[in-house]
Amino acid sequence: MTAQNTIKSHPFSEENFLRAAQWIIPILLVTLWVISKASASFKLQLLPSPVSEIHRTVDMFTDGTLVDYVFVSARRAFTGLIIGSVLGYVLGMITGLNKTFNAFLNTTVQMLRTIPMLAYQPIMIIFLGIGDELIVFMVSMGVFFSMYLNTYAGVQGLDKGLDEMARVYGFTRREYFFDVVLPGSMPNVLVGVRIALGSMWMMLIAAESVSGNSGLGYMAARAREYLQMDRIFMILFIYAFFGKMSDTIATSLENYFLRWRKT
Amino acid sequence: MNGISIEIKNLSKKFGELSILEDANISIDPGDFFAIVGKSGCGKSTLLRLITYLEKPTSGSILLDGKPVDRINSDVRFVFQDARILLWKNVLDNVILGSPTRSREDALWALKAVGLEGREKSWPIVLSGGQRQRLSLARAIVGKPKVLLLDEPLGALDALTRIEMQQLIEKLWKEQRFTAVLVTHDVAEAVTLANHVIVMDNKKIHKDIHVELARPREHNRDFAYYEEKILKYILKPKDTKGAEYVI
Ligand SMILES: Nc1ncnc2c1ncn2[C@@H]1O[C@H](COP(=O)(O)OP(=O)(O)OP(=O)(O)O)[C@@H](O)[C@H]1O
Ligand SMILES: [Mg+2]
Repeated sequence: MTAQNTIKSHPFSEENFLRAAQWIIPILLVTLWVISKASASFKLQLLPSPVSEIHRTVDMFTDGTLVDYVFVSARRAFTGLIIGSVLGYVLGMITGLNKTFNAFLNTTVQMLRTIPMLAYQPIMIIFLGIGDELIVFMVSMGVFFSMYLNTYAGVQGLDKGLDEMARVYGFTRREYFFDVVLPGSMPNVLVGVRIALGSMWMMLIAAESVSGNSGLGYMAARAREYLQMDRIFMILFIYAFFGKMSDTIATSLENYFLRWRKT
Repeated sequence: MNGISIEIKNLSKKFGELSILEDANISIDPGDFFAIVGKSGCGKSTLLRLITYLEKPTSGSILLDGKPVDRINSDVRFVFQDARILLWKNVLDNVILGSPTRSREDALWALKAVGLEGREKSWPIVLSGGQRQRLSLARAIVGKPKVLLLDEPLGALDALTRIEMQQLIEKLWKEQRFTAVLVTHDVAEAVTLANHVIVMDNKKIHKDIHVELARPREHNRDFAYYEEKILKYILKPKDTKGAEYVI
C-alpha cells in the first residue's frame, strides 16, 4: 500500500468525517426523542415510546400491511414520476427550442402551474374518479411542472454565444442538439429532477390522503384521524427514508451528468 | 500561401435606425495581417461578424477571394473573446468539433500546435484563462482556415500571458499563412502583430497604417512611433483628415 492510500483510508480522514457528519442531526433527533420520553413528562403522553414504536413497526411488517402500502405508494409514485418527467422534459425542450411551440404552449403551461393542484382536483374527479388514476395524475402533474419549468429555463438560458459558435463552426442540427443543448441544459434539468422528486412525494401523500383507500398517505390520514401517534411516527420515518433515497438518486445523477463541473 | 484576399466595398451596416458602419472600404491581401483598433462600441465586432456572415450588410459587399460572401463558410474561422468552449466536452472533443471533417488526427495536431499536448482528456473547467484561449485557437485552426478572425481574443488575459499568446498567434500565422484580422483594444498588441492597423471611429474606417517593422518586434523607438501615431488617430481622428501611409 502506498503512503497516499494509507492517508485516504485513515478512519479520521476528511472524507469519512463528512460521510459521518450527515447523520449527526438525524441521530440527535432520535436521541432527543428517547430522552424526552424517558424523562416522562405527562405533556408527552401522546408521544409514542421508542419501544412501542418498534413493536408497532414489527407488527405491521409481519402482517404485511406496511409492505403492501409501501409498494402501492411506490408504484403510484414511480408511474407518476415517469409520465410527468418524460412529458415535462420533452415539452420543455420543444418550447425552449421552437418559437412556434413556445407561442402555442408556454403561456398555457405557465398559467396552469400557478393554479394550486387541490383547486382543480374536484374537476379531475369527474374524469378520473377517486382511484389510482387520480393519484397518479396528480403526481404526474407535480412532477411535470418541476421538470417542464426547469428544462425550459435551461434551454432558454443557454449561452447565446454558443449558438453563434455552433453556427460559425458548422454544427449539424444533430450536433447542436446533442453537443450543445442537451448537455448545456443539464444543470437546470437536474435541478428540475431534484424538485420533481420532492413534489412527487408531496403530491402522492396529499392525493392518497384525500382520495385513496390504500398507500402511505391513506395510512397517514387514518392515523391522524384516530390519533395513532405510533403510526404517525412510523410514517414519518418512512418519509424520511424515501427522502434520503430521492436525494441519493439526485446526487448520483448529478455526479454522473455534471462530472465536467467538478475540478 | 493558404490565405485569401478580403475585399470590403462601400460596406454599410445599420441596426434599425442605428448606423454602425458607413461606406467602409478595406482591401486585405492574401496572407496579410490586419489589426482593427477603435473605441468600444464603434462596430469592430460587427465588422468581423459581417465578414463571417453572422450579420448581413445593409448595403455594399464583402468579397473573399473575389467571391461575395453569401453563407457561413468553413474557410473563415472566428476566435471569440469569451472562448465559447463547450465545458461538457473534453479538450480534444472541443477541437474535433472545430474540424470541418471532425478529424481526430487534425485535432491532435492542432492541440500540439498551440501547446496543449497532454491535456486532451482534461475538462475545460480546469484550464487557465490562457489555456482556454489556446484551446479556442486550436479549434479555430484545426481545419486550416484561409481566414482567421480574432475578436479581442486576449482581452481577458493578464499582461504576461498576453505576451505569450501574441507570440503563439504570430507563430501560427507564420506557419500557416492564413489571412488574419485581429480586433484589439491594445494598440501595442496591434503594432506587435499586424502589418496594417486600421483605426475605426465614428462609423468610418480610417486609412490603414502600414507597420513596417522586422519580426519579432521589439519595443524600441520605432515601435513607440507607431504606437503614438495610432493613438493620435484614435483620440482625435477629426484633426487628421485622411490618414497618410507611412512607408
Ligand atoms: N444585433 C444588434 N442589434 C442592435 N444593435 C447592435 C447589435 N449588435 C451590435 N449592436 C450595436 O452596434 C454597436 C457596435 O457594436 P460592436 O459590438 O460591433 O462594437 P465593438 O466595436 O466591437 O465594441 P467593443 O470594443 O466594446 O467590443 C454598438 O452600439 C452595439 O450596441
Ligand atoms: Mg466587440
